[in-house]
Amino acid sequence: MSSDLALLAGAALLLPLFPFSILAVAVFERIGNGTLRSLLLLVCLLPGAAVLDRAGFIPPDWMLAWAMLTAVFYAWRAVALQDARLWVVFLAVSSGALLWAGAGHDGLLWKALGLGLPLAMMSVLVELIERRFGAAHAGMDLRLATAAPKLSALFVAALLAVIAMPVSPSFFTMLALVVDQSRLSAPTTLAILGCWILWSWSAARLFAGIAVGPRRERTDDIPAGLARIYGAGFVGLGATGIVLGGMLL
Amino acid sequence: MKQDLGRQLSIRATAYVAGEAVPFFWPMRTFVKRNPLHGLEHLAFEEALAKGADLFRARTFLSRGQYQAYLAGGKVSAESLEHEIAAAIGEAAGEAKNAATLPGIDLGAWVKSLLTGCIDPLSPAVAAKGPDLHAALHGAEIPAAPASREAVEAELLAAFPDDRPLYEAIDALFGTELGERLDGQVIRACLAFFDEGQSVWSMPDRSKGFFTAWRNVAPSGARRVLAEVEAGAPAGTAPGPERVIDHVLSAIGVPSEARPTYLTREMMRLQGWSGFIRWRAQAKRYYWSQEHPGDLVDLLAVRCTLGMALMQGLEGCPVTVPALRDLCAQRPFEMALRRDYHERRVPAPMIRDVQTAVERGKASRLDKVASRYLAERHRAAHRRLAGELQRLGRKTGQLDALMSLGPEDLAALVDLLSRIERREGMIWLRASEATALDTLMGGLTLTPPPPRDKRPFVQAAFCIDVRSERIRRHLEGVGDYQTFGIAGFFGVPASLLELGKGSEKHLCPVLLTPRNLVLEMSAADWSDEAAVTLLDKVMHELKETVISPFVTVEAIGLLFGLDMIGKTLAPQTYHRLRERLDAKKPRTHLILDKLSREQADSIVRAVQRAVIIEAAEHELGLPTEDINDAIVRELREYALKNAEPSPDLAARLKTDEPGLAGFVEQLREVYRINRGVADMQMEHLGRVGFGLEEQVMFVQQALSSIGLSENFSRFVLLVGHGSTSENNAYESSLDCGACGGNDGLSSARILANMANKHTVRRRLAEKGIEIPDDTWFLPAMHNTTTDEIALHDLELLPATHLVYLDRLRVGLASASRLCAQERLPALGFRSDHGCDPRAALRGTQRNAVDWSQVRPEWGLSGNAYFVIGRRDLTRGTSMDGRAFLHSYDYRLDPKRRLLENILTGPLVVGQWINLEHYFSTVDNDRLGAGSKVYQNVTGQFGVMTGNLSDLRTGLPSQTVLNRGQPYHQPLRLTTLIEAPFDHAMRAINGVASVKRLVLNGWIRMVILDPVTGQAHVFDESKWITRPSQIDQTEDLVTR
Amino acid sequence: MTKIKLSPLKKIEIVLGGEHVGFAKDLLDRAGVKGYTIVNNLSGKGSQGFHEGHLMFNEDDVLVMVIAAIVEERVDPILEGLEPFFSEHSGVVFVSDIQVTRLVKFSD
Repeated sequence: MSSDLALLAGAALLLPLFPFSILAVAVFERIGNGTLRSLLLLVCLLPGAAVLDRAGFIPPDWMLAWAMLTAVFYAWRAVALQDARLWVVFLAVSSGALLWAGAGHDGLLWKALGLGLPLAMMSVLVELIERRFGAAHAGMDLRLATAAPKLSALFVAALLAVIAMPVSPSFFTMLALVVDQSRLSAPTTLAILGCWILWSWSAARLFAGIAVGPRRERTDDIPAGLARIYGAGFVGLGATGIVLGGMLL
Repeated sequence: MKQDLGRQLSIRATAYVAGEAVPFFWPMRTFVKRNPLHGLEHLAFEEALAKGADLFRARTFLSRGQYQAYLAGGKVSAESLEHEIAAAIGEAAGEAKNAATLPGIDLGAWVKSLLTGCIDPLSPAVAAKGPDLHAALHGAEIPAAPASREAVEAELLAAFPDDRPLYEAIDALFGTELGERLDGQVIRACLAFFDEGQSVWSMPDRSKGFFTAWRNVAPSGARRVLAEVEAGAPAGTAPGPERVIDHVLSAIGVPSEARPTYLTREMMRLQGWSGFIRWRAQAKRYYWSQEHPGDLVDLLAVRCTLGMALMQGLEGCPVTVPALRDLCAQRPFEMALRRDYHERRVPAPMIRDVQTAVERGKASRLDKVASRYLAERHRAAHRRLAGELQRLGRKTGQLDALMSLGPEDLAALVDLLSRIERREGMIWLRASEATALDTLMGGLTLTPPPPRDKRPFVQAAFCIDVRSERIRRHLEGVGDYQTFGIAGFFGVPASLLELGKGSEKHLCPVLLTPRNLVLEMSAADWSDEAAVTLLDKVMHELKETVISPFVTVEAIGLLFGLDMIGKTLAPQTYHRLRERLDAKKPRTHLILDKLSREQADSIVRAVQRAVIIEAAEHELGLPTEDINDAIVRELREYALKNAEPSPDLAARLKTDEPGLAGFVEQLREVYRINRGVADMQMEHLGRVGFGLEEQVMFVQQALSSIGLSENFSRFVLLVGHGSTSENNAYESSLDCGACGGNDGLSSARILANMANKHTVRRRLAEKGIEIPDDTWFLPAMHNTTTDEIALHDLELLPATHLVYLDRLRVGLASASRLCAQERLPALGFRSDHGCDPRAALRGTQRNAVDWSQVRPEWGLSGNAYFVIGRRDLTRGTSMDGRAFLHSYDYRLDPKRRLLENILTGPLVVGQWINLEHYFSTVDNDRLGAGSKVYQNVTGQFGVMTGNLSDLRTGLPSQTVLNRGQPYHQPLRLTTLIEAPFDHAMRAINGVASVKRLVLNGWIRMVILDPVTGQAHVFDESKWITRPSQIDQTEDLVTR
Repeated sequence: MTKIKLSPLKKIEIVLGGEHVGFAKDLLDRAGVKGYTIVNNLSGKGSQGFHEGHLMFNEDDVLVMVIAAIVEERVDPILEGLEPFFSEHSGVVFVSDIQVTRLVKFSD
């Protein structure tokens, strides 16, 4: 029993629930190196998922409720965010909290990977924008769509992948979570869906602030070759998603 | 009471004066191209553009990148650009107080590099400090001097002057969206009130006036404000709009000298709606204006009330002008930070800190972050400026000279460059115009044409419209055709009542009000409409009711589907099929002779008779057979109080005495059979037609003004123009501006009719214009979309002319095809339509019937020149459809009356068209109408973008832009008058409006003196004689 | 011989550009003035130079004078109403004392 508790505590730190999530967000903020951050986002959900998986039990109701509340809370706070970098972190926390709903079911590690991959891609693109424009912030007058159309297109693709649009891996993960929970607990299912909607809303606001605006002169766009490579990356992401879907559902 | 009245009148006058800057917006049924800055024409051009940019919050010049493209494309020549740069440098150096000579710096080269090599403007957002700039240039650290409170406060007060609406300042400082919300509410109120029958459910009580009707349905916040106003008003009466405006402006604390501009800016936020209301209030004959009156004072009252209500709902923001000023004085740094943050100017490094500080809102933290931000802003601006200067130094090769300049000299350099950048738009514009003038002058020829041995086959008078230039050129090329240019309404201002229509069309420029009415009548019996046309009408009306969509989709939806598929997949074929099914308009005659008194009287009697019969049927239930002529006559006389009824009249009408009395009362009041109305009808009928002397005068004026007074051909074509397009809200904009947005065919028919009369020709011969008997004036219609020319009124053609008709038709058809071939590539068509003239004509025909075509033709885009002179002057060159050509021969116009007529009418219309295109090109979003794709027709008189926006004014982007880049080259109209200098000068001076336009620089005037061969250009308040470029191989015009 | 009774009134004469005559008429109507006379096609000299009274294409370019007889109480409000207009436009207003025979036509 105590080992269970220890494991649970460990999971609460690795798949942080509020208020431990504050620490996680602060840690991420400190990391300056973009590549490191992206890699970290890719793998950060895996340890916690592994721990939960190994423990092999279904978390008590109060803990599940706590996790869902955390997820919805961070999704809701993400709506008001203007900084894309912080937005990715918030969504990561929200995704991590959602993974608790998958505890006790199969394929938790695959689910964690499914959520982490789009986040990592998004982080890479945010880094690209930051390198060129200083910051990916909706409070600046970026108007990315005309200033750097290729980059803007990739940014949108990443955004859509993060908010779990088909055929992104996170879509299949979310779907699996919903399907699993729908047989068990209505409130949890609703929380997952509510999270999903809030993610989409916040993504739309972010997109409007960063990419949309009156036409401006083109500056600093990524070269066509690089854009093609990233494009191929997204195609790969989609393929991964389909494979993942086959495994989870 | 007296005080109150005076105050109310004063507010009305203030609103009137404030509204003068808002351009009129005519309903789009007859689209009128006008200068959006017409209210600023009393200012010099450059000044007016600066003020217009401020009031309209719009750009008034193209961006530098676009001008650089022109330079690369040859539309701006390098020499003219250098010339303008030199002039600008001279001006700027004269203005700058410390005009020190900068050692080693060739300012001309620097400016040229700046304008042609850089994309972004140099002018820094903050004033450049010499020492700091010097430090940045040499890589040293810029000393972190704290920003001065006074300077920042002054900057804020300059950004938010007293005459700027308060909510704009609040939005800029606190990120609220009051301005947008207010605009949305006002637009909804306007849509509801000014609707002209498009919506099924309408606002109640509209006949009481805009403000009164709106007050009844005002939202609760607004009602609170109105209650406040009422509390201050004398008891008993509801406060009028003037009192509301007064109350709100006083409550906000707008000083009285700032009020006119404050109100102007309020109106300019929705300049489309304000322009429409302003036009409507003074259009006395406009039906809707009489039914639902509303003027600018009402609009301002609604706006002020709603604005106040929105501001009252705020917390923590200043809601009066003095409060705002105090806030800027007490916390200037914080306010400057807020302003930069909400206007999205904060650069990347500080954005996160600034955002957190602003959102948390704690004053102390804000102050700290603000000081840091302002210092950083200062440093960043100087670093950037230094970088730009170094780049320029490298481009000009004077980097060393730059680096050796001292701080004061650096500041002076930046100051000079900024001053020149402020003039940059005018530099480019003037350079473009100089290049355009060179192009024009290079193509003119003063050599007189070889003398003719016989008269031309056909003489054709076209409208001065730029699109006529092409067809005229091709027509002259295919045969012995002589063409002339004349205003599209042929100088005959007339009102036309078309067959079957209920209202008049004014066939003249909107500047005029026609005094004569022309009726269109047909001998054919048009009362039986084809069954299919009826079905068409019913189907269209079905779309308007609320429930019908649910019912009709299943029932007859498929029919609509056929229509849609047909129109989309095979527009031309489908159009031909539909045409066969639709009822054809019968041949009509125009009544344009004055009616005699007896004729008018019998018309009125006939109308009264018909109405009495209808009334008797309707009110008394009597069938037509029971009402004979005698009864009708008795009733009529009784109603007109001419005679008493006979005693048995009541019995014959199968009613009793009181019933008869009641019926006759109805006849008088409801059916308007009374003396007053009868007199009015007679007066109206007096407007019909033109008297003989009038007709002679118009024909003489038309022929003299184009210089056609002898050597008449067998055919004289009068070609009006119009356009055809499907699904085009702007179709009227492609029609003839001189005909008030209608097509020119009716005007052509009117003048042709007049000129063919024997009586008219006899009188003309007495006046010196001898028209031979075998000359026939033939009206024709040039369809500018397809370039086809169709002849009309052929049934009136004398038999002797029929044999020549074939040759004429062939010539016209060839000209049309060649013209289409020239035009089609510019419309971006696939190559399989482009090469062959026949295929090109088919292409243009398809354009005219394709409902998905957003650009059926380029219309007047590209217009740049207005040439008043003989056709021989421009004959040898192609003007690419960019010139208004008005034929004029100064030798026939000793008193300059004809020239003055041309200047005051057609030239002003041309200027309006030119400036409408100019402003729609330079800023299509604010001064133009945006993309047609997102537009929705509103209230049946205008368009909006999306589902809620200001009424769009100006031209849509598809008309003036091509893939986002300008297609129309924005230039002022270069007007050339071919006449002796003195003659032309006196004419210009004689027309006050044109004189003002020339003096203020709204038109570029050139006088080409055919006697001396010299050209005189009016520039910067003086006439400059140009070195002659004109091709003169022989002695000049001496005849 | 019956003596004709004369009543004192004020006369106001407004000279302004033709395009603003609608504004002047509206102002007088709202002030309750019962009638006015409009004289067209004037010429004159002002601070902007001599204005040729040349009726050309339209009536907007000419000078116009509006004459009305008004009761004394209405003078101040009307002048107050005209003040914002004349601070932006050229033209003049004259107020003079007159006498009329049929007072009922001019006052209520």
